[in-house]
Amino acid sequence: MSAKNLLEGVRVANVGVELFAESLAAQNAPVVQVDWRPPAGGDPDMIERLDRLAVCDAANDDAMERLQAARPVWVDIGVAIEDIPGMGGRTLLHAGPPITWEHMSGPLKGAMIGAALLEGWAKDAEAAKKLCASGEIAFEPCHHHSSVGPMAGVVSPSMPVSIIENRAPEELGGGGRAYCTLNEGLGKVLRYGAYSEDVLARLRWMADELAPALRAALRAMPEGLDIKNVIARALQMGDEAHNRNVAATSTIARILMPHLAEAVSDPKVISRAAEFLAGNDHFFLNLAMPAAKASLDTMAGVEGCSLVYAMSRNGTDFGIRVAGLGDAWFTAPAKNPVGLFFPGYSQEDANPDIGDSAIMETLGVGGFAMAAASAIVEFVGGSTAEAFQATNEMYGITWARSRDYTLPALDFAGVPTGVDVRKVIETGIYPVINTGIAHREPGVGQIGAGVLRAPEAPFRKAFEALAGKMTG
Amino acid sequence: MALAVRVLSGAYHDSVKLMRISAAASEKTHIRQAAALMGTPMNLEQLASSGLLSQEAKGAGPNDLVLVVEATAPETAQEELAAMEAALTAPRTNSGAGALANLSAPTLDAALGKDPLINLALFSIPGPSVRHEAERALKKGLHCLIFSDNVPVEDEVALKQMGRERGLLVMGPDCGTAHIGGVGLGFCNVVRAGGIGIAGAAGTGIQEAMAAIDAAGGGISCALGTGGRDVTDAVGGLAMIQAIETLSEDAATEVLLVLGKPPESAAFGKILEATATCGKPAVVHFVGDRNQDILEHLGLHVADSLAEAGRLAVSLIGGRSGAAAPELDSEARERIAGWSRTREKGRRFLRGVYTGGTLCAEAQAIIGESTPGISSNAPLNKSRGTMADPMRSEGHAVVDLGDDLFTRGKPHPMIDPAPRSARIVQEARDPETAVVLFDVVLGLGAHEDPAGEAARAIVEAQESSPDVLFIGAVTGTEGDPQGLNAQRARLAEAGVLVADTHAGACLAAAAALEGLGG
Repeated sequence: MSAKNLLEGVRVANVGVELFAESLAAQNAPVVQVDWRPPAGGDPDMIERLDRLAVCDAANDDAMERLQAARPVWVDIGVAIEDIPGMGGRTLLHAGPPITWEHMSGPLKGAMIGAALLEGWAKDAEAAKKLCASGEIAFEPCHHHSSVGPMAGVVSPSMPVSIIENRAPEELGGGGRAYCTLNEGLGKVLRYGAYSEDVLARLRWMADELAPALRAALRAMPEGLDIKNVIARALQMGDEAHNRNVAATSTIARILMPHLAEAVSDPKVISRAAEFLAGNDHFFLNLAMPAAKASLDTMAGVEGCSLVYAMSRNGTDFGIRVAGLGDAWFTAPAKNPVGLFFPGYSQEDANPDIGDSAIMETLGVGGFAMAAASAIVEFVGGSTAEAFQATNEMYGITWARSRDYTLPALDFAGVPTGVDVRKVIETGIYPVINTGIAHREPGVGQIGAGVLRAPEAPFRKAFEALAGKMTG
Repeated sequence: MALAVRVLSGAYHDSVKLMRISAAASEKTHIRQAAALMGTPMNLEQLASSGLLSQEAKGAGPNDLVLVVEATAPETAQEELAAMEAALTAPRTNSGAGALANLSAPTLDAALGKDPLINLALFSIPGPSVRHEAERALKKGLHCLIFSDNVPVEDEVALKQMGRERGLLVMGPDCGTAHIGGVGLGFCNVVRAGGIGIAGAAGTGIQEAMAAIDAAGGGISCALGTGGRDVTDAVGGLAMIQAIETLSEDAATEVLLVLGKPPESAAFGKILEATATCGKPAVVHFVGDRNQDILEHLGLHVADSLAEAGRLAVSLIGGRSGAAAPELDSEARERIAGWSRTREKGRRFLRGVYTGGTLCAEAQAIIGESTPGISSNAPLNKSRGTMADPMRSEGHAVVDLGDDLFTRGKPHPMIDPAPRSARIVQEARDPETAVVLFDVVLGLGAHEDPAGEAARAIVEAQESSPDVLFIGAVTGTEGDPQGLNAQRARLAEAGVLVADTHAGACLAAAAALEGLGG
């Protein structure tokens, strides 16, 4: 066949020497430079397996259709023991892959102690510690119970939880739900491992007053509150929906307020709820995370799919789950985030990476959407160019661009979404994750925020499992 | 009037962007009104007052995107609706600019995400890695230009067969020059648009012909490179034949110019057949080929040099035919005669110092007619004439410094002329050297002042060897970034005998050698 269509003009991908791209650009010819590296570090065996895993493409398209169609809506606020599927009486949920008490890091232990105190299972911290070590409490990952939790991610039975429902059509995986506690604020909070009396008092107030008030407001909205819409809007307002949530939280407050005033009779309660929202920029994170979870879980179990549907850390291990590999976790030791610290703290105080909040990056926002968040570019080096580059790099390891989550600074390009295990292995590019930083000792709390790359090993292990499964 | 409406649930888009989409749709003929907006109560009211609020749109909420088109016909309205929906997510690639397009992509897939209209992948990566990447590019529907060398021949065949099946052209490996849609790729000269379509298995060969076309007032429709190995029997001229077929179907191409180093026999037959049956006048010139009678018998036009082939192609447009063979002018003859009288007797050999491989071959072909026994690291005839030591010339010798031997891990001498400068000095200092012949190749991708670099080396060489005759030609056009006339002037200032074409320089060298008696 002749190649006649070529002669109409060229738009070039220049793979290799940059000189050629420069020459094309000088002629005003459209050109995109590709920074080529040998695939899989040039390992012929890996390259061959990568080629054989081309069979995953169709499954990825199917799974991506589900992810794109997901429409997470905040429908209600319930109580963990009543609403979270499979939640037992003496159960504490935590962030990340499964872990035993002995292997838990400081902040996770601290959060467990706090939760045991909150539930009235122990009279003081010492007793709570003993109880936790006794084996009488079941520690289970949030992810095993359709839930997610930021940082330590501890969920105890009496805690109020937001309920997010995916209102996509059923044939695209709609109808699923995900759960998350209400965000407590910054600094000395349970999710960072603090458990002092003021921390517990705030949690009690949240359960006794805030949650019922917000529940009443929410129930006054028959359609619920569309979280996908708020994330999309927030990206246009300088949030990346992980380390910056001020725009989304403000938007949520604006939407809720009339309903809150309508549904709650005591003006003092309204005032305290409004003040709490006003004082907590990250309130929205605990809605964005279950929204991401409800969206991503639609991909779980799609046969042959090589896309990651959860990335998560428990402060000791970093784990991922891959759509075509069912419930299995692929783990490696968690790395330490590099960050900016509150006064009096430094890198040495930092705990290894912790929290289910990397579900935001799994969705394609957070570190993947740094190009949206000019206000926090300090995390990636200080310049907008570096933020653009962080997002740009993630296009190399993702399956698609989001249809709904777009980046104004990049001419409304969709965020890179659907981390493909194969592409991670091929490029050696690892997901960039924004995160809060907890003190490594229990009881202290948050000491900063920062950024890091996911470790290599979970992706390699998942790749090997996928190669084994798909090609025998 | 027909109304078409679509409500997209939970799809948020900024209102400014939506206004742009509305405006773009409304401007079209056959569209009376168009709107893209979020279904807030105020927006719905606005739709109602414009008569655009259908039953479907009435049900929209503030989180729903409403698209409405009112057009002269229902199909038009539906089509525009689809176009508006596509515009919501379409990347803006028309300008090729934008923050994202300007950032390099980590992978080819990511590049296609930035600009889905990319239609050509240009590879300059290690040869053994080319097949894997180029196969992917072909699967994505991209034509390929492979600059890389050291690609195994079985990879080349597999890629070219795969491309052929899909109507995609694979240029190279080792393809340094192409000119498509007015854009030069790799090493390429700036030339006018015109009716000559070039298919070449030779990089600097294409450039020399393009330059001659430009000098003769002609222009090109395109130039497609194939890589030199394409015309061996192992590859069978796969890309050359596909390029010829492509040019024969191209409306802008009036005359074909097929060139390269001589093909191997089976490939030669296929290429000639494709050219002879292409339905357009065709000039065929393979450097050093001696089958001109057969070519003429097939109705093909033949030439004695690359430059003449270019000029001949120009003359064929508009039905004229025939071009004068290049001859030395009287000024050049007098200069050579004068030099011949005064030179030192021991100086009796030709030394060619080349950056362009095809030009190096042409030197052997033209000068070899009158001066036998020229050796080279890239001999025209592989069975004889290989230099014993490419680093040190003996007797008559022409060396191709673009050969892998010299470029491993280094830039090509057309990009960095320093090694060539050193070799010019080395040759001139050899007491047996009579003539130093060299090329200067201009154009996109080449060094910014190659003639200046050569001139500096020549001035240095003349200090110790004032008797050596330097003969050179510049392959390029006035439109090239370096400028043809300025580059020629640089050489002339340094005392070089500058010919109009490379073939002319070769004839001058041959004439100079004639009087020396070996």
